[in-house]
Amino acid sequence: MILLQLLISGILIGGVYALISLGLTLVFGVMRIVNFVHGDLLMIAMYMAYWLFTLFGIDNYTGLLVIIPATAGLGALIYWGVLRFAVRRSHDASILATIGISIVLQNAALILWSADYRSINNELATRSVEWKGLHLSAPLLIAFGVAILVTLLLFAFLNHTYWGKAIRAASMDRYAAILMGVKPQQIFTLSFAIGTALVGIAGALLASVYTVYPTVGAQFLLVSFVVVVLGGLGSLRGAILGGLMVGIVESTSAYFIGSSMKELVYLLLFILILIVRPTGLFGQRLPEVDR
Amino acid sequence: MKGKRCLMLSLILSVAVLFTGCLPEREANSNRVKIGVAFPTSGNLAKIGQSCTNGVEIAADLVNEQGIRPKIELVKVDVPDAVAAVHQVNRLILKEEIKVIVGTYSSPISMATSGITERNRVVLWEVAATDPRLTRQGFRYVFRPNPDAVLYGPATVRFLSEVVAPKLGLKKEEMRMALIHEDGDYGEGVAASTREAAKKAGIPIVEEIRYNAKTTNDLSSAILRLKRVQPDIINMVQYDTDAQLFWKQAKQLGLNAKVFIGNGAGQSSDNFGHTFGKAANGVLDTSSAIAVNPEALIPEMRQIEKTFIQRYKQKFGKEPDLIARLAFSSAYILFHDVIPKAGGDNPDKIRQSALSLDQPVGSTLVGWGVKFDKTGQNTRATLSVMQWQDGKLKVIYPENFKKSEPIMIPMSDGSER
Repeated sequence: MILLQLLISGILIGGVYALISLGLTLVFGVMRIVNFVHGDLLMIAMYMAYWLFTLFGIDNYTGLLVIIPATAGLGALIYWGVLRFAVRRSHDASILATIGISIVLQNAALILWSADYRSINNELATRSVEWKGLHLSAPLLIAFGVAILVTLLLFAFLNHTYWGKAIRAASMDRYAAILMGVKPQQIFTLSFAIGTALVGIAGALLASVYTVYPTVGAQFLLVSFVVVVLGGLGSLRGAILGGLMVGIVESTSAYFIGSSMKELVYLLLFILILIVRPTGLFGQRLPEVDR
Repeated sequence: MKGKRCLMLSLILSVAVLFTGCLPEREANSNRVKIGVAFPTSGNLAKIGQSCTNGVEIAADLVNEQGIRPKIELVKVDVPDAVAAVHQVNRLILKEEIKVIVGTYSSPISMATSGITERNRVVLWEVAATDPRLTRQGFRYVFRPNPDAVLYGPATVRFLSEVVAPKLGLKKEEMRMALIHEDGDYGEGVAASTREAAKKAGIPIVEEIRYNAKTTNDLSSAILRLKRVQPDIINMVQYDTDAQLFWKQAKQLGLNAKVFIGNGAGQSSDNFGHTFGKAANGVLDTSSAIAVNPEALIPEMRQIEKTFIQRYKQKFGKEPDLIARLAFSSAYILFHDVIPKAGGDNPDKIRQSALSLDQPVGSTLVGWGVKFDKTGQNTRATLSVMQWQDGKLKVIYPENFKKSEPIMIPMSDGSER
């Protein structure tokens, strides 16, 4: 019974990790950018949800209608304003650029909203679904459901629409894609906007679970990097499986070994998998981008 | 030829510098001192560091307005972590020639800072860090007006034995207590003192759970372990974010206990009340008191408390939280009593002046008295127990400090919280 409860808790939190990691892996797969600003975009989205709730009484699920376009727009803006100039250069350029934006966003948040820890406590935030003695956290359950839905939509988009196919083409072979008439800058803007919107969704859903403050992103960035590399850089399936694995390993090791040790356990597992499969679970050796 | 001219020029210049450096400053020094203010105002601890800085600022304002000399002039720096603290404090000492530093809130930052201040014969006036090691390094110029971590355990256990046990109708030996705490200096230090005090009093500890406050996104496994042992009392040592996560998940997973008691930080932060409102009702917290019964204060301090709150609201647009009060209270002692008596910022005179203080309980804003021992630790700093009642933190123990009666002992089920 307790094992089942642990498994469920692990899967729910794993769903959250997967949702955050999807955008990260998409951006890497298409643009080969290691996106250090990802965690801070999560922070911005959480603040959006918080303010919508506090100022207008819009709960964070309805708020998605505003937050998804807003974060997508912000993503496009960041790409056009900064990353456009870094994407064709070496990895150092994009790493420095994203770290730079990350510092700007964190300090902007600190100036605008101070360092207060803010959190939404609506009806749902502390609610749980009880089923045969098992407790399922309501906000995490919803987040998990939305994560599945969003992933399905994303796969459908990538496989069945022109733009989706163009994104995949650009991630497989940029040079060939350009020869086929795909405009790389458009594709990059689009993928970065989608990546940001994905983390925007995650932020909105998590605003009722976690406290938001200017450096909250760091708390999730490390674990989402682990998830993404574990699943294979650039692989969407890998991000989902990696997220669930980390979630389950975390919750079971925290119970049986101790909460202080749970990072140790999943990082050890991470090292083991990298030794056996250096490209991660679903990773393929990606072709270096033609510059 | 060229070399000679250079030599002459540098000689003239250095003489000039010497003079400009000397004359006006000596004169100003007698009625004006520069005090360094070093708190983390960016990064993880920014919220708390900002409150501390605000409190110190108001203390300087009030003392300056009272016409007390030397006049206090603050030089503020941001020390988000120990590395930054080393840089900034060195700069304050070497470049700004500062002899007294008020800081630093966090134990690791304070430990790093104290090494530098001591080496340079500079006073460190620590207003919040609780690591017991700080005043046990044999340093001459470290002073801590607030209590250290070893006092938390005895204060909690005294409250549990005197107030909680009769209300629950249990003997001390029957009250089963579980500890859950973050695994840094603060959590481990407070938990160790609680373990020891509980052992002495005969209260059994049935479970102890540690976790990392910075990286933990999920406490459900810890809560499930607590559920399995079904303790009567759950004792928490948590920072802000993890305290809120714990309280949300405790409710989701149906964790119940008769008493939930925290130890400063997470449960005494105003954010806890902002987030949970009435759902925080009944949660207890051993800490420095937020606002003690005015009866327990000396009349002069009652007046100052009013002025302080009013000025704080005016200047920063919000009520002072607990840590702002603490910082104000401790800085006020320094600016109002210690420095005027020392007649300036000479560290040895400040040490003498601080050691000679002998103020009774009730003479500071938070209800403490002041009497430093040789190590620089205030021996008249005491802890209170507070409780969340209708979204506000109220002092309920000890008897002479309390403003409200304890409620909800034992606490109702999570479903009704």
